[in-house]
Amino acid sequence: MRLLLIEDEKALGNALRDYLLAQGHATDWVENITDADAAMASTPYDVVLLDLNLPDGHGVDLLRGLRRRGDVTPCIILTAQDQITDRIQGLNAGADDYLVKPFDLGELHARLSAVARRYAGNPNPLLSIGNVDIDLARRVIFVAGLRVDLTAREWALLDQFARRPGATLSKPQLEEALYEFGAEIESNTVEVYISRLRKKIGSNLISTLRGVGYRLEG
Amino acid sequence: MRIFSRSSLTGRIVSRVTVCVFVLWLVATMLAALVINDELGEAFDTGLQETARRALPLAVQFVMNRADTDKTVYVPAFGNGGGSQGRENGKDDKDGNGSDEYLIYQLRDKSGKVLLRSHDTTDLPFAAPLDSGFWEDRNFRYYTEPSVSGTLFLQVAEPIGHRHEATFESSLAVLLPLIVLIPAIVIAIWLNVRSGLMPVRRLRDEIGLRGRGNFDAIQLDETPHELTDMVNAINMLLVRLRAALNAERNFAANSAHELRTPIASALAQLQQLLLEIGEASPYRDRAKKVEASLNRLRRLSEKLLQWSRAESGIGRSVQSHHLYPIVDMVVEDIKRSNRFENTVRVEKDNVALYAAIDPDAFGICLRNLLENGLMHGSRNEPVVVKINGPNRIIVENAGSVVPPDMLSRLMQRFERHGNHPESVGLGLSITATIIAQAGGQLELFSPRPGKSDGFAAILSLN
Repeated sequence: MRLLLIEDEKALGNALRDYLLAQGHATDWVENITDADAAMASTPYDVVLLDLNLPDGHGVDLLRGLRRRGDVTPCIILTAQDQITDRIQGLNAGADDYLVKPFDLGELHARLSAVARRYAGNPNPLLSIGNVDIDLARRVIFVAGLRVDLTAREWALLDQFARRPGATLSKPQLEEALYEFGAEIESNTVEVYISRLRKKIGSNLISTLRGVGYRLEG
Repeated sequence: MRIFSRSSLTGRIVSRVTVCVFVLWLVATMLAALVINDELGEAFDTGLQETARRALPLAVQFVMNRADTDKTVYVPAFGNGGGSQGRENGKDDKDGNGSDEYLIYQLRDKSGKVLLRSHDTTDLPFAAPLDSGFWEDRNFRYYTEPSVSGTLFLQVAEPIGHRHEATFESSLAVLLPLIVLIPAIVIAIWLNVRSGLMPVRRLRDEIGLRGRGNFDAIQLDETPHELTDMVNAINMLLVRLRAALNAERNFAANSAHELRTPIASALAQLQQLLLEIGEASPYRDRAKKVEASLNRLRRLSEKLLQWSRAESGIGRSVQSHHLYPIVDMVVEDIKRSNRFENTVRVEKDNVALYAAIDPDAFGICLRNLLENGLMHGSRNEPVVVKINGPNRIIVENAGSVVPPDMLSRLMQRFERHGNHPESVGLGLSITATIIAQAGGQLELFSPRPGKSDGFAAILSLN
């Protein structure tokens, strides 16, 4: 997934970005609303992780602005404000979930995945395609009953397919899922990871639509 | 009686006023006795004088007309069988008639010889000199009235004791009602003092019935001006106290709140480190211990934040709120957190849950009760939230029975049952404080009602 993390606390933002990258999510980290607006104007994100108390404004105002513009990017609020009324205010402003600091990284990831699945129209984290069983919540995959280990970027790619089984994803869409800002993009990176995935889960599971993109057969 | 104890204001006023009334009445009686003595003296003197003047012509005529002028004649009292005729001396000097006549008299010539005397005197002349006017010795008060020619003197005497007796009895008549009326006076004073001290009692009740954390200004209608200054001083003190406590609570709340982000940073960094060093790292155990400590610090800061909010009176609410959304939100939040191995089941009646409690405060209470059940309850049965009527919530869990002595202490701060690593010992205390502020009640039962095991917390809201 391509994520935007808006967090002004450097130590926390740093740890969250590293963790999310390690989990296979291309994560852009910004520390204020101005940078967040600029990032969202240039990149489509799958999920926004939003702190509320930011140096140049309140996160809820940013969220309301997004929703007013018709932007439906899923948003999870990460904040130290734990009052029920704060939570209701955040959810009413258009947030999809609300996580109170401090939180476990595992809990953050579980909620992130749940929100992403909900938006993809497939809230069920278990997916079976042929002899391949994918558990998106636990991030494990079984081929013919045998567990297969995937790297973070292989997961990021498979996650994009699994959230939209049968849908055709373009190469730029897949690239967005693979890279955070600043990382170098090789012209054949997507093909390399598609090839690796096919070797691990079966060559006929991901189809290539020449000139259009790729599709997970479901 | 308690009201007459030294510590009772009513008792003190009643006893002091009673003593004052008694002493003042006594002084008044003494003054009255002096006045009575003086007035009675004048009246008795007038009586002596009038008697002497009216009797003198009769006595002179009687002496002039007698046959034997050498003998003293005495006049018996009425009803003594002698009529008004005089008797010669020596025949019956003491008739012993027992009459209560106090005036005695003698008619004496200018040599002092007694010519005529009343029945209660002797032939010996009075001690009073033959001078016109009053004279007094230790036993009698005399009045001497000379005849026109100055040859005869009528002396009328009255016992001094008689005058003293009259004065004493008159004074006693003033004093006696006080002795009889003392109980009535005490009751009357007590009733009036009690009535007068009603504003003091209202002030006492207003202060005494306040819950913890209520520092609102005291407002009493028709406060007497003697109490107004005191009420103003107390209100000023409450303002200062509230400001000091608010500063302390804000400090605690802000500290706890500001701690969250650094703890979140440290926890996230550590969990990321745990992922990076892998399962086989020799530092993993130590890192896991640091993670456990950070998690405990996280829970402690959360509870301190809740505690400071509870102490600031967060529970009070002037309006009622629908609480089902709060129940759903808290239960969903706990389920998603994956902190507990057990789960929560909600059983709702078809009745709206509607109560006068701040929604955030209610959320804190329910979260604490659920965490309590999930931490200490059996993992084989879910923790059950029963919405029992419009303002009654039961949170119960299976598990071992809490001993009665421990159960009675569980609502005290830092009291813990068991040694669950997530337990801080503040949750039930915070909940009880908030519910009391909202006018409700928290009751704990173990075993849970209708079962032989487990624990139940019942929230009765207002």
